[in-house]
Amino acid sequence: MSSGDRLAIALLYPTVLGLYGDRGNASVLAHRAKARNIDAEILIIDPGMAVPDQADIYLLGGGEDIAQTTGCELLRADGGLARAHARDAVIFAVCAGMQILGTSFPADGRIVDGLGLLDIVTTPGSPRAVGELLTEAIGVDLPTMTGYENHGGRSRLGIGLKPLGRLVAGIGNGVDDGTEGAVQGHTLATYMHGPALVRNPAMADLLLEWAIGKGLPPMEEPLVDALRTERLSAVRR
Amino acid sequence: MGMTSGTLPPPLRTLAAVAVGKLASRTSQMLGRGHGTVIGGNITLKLDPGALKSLVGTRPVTVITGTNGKSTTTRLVREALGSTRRTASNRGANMPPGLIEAAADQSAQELVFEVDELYVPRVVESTRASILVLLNLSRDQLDRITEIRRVAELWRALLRRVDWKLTVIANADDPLLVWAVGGYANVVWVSAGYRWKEDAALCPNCSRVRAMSTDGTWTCECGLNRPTPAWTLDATGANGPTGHTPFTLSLPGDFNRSNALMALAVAAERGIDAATAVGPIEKVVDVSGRYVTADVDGRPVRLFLAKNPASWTEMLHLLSHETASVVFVLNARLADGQDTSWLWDVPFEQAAGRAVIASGDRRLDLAYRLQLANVEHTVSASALAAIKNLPPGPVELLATYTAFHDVLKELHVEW
Repeated sequence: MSSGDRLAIALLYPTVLGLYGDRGNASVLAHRAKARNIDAEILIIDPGMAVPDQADIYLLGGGEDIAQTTGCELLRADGGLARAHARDAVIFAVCAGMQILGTSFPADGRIVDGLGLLDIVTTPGSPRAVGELLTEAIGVDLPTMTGYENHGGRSRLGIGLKPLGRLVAGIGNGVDDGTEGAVQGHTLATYMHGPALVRNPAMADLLLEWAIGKGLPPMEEPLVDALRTERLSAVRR
Repeated sequence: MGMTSGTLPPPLRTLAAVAVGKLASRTSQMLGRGHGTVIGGNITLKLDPGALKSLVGTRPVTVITGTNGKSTTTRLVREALGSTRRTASNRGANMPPGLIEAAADQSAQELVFEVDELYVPRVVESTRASILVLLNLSRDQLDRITEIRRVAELWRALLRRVDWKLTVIANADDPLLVWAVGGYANVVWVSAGYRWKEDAALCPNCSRVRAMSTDGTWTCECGLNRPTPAWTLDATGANGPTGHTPFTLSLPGDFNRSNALMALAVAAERGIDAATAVGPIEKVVDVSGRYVTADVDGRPVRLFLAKNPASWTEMLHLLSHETASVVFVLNARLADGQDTSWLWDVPFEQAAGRAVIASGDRRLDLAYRLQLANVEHTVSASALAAIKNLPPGPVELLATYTAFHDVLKELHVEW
């Protein structure tokens, strides 16, 4: 960990990029870290504050078109997230957050330059992808992933960029290759809200393990297991 | 059915369509499938697509919309106008089929409709409404509505098309509404408050990050500023263009004081002064099952409807002043919105220290949210069964839309 013994989780611009309860991802990371006796703190980074260079995990959430464009401009001007990506810090980006990491995305009828940290080109698509999303991991070693998607983008990954999962249900990246999300180094991007880490504790643990650089002991959460079982069966029914 | 003098009755085709619709409503009612308002309205509109316009005729129409407070404000306006004239309004069902029954009441001199956000242009234009009330706009049922801004854009475009006399009565504290109203000239601004700030971080006009000052006023470099309101609240009542009107509502919560302020502004626009309108508003104790206190095994259980993060936040704030046990009931069916992510935007931490039950179809999502908010709770498939295991004393029950109506049915509460 970069700042002594404390795991720093930076929640980036939640008032701008936090449309779908994505701040819950920060809560889950802190909760699962503390359960393993890892001291964790959530740094809420509001617009106007500098993106910290020393955080261990950076979280980006979803937003409507104007919020996505403004969020992207703020991140570009700040430069902190690009520096974090350059040192392969852990970045978890959801929905609009994933599109922002890419090279371009549609907003308010035009194409906007993303941060270009991932080779993802997002174009407008129809119909809008709304509903439960279910995938099997291919980019990483994780159990079945569950989330809720709500976006109008179609995201094509460049050659060499691994998708996060293969679609079982939902639209995901939506470019007819049956993929969802992307993973590169310690950056993980997905269309899954829910929030994603609530429904996928193994994904939370993967991010934590990347951040601390070692494995974590297993953690039993029967309530989350029951929630996962319920969501998986709701989609497979 | 008495006819209002000076207006023509609707054409026969419309009356026949209404008669068939009413028959279907009654059949549905007898089968125990709720009010049957929507089924009847659907049939009427299928037989006569122009029925709403024909039924309304030339009578004055007030359309009330916004994310939260539609039903309550509609009820308060109906009561306020009802002090001087016969007024009809819809109850709960707020898409066009839900308006037919009220519009068919030809004895009413005036109509008040609560209207779903997305149907506002259609209803306002077909009825040539003369008052449009815009309460607030925040994230809600995003799986259906997709983007809040899209709603604001719809309203903005509507107001640019209006070419008859329509007065907009709108919340000056909500930046998105101020943007939606745009340059429209005939507006009465009301400072109705805005506790939920999560959808207001950016200027809706120029996308800049815009600071909101602690007193609720706001400005932006681009020139989009909070208009000066004609109506404001203070600790004891309403301040309007003609002075101060004290009021004490039977309904709980700051948000209902805001709804009452809006209703007073509508009444004033219709020529009823606040002193006359305030009495019937104060007397309203419940609205379509909301705020009703039911008895469950000797415990008084007060019922609250909360549909989205803004209204859950308001309700939790209201309940935070009390010590009663709390039951949260969460469904995520079509009418609730099927994405429960918003739970993480609601400060459930405020419920800590009280006896709490998590129930509803999606009680597991709720339970985990409560766990991470450090709120001790029990999980139960049946809200009412769980109430019987609570410590004696009062209970407050907060439920999403479909969950709320299931509870009303189980408790045999008329609404």
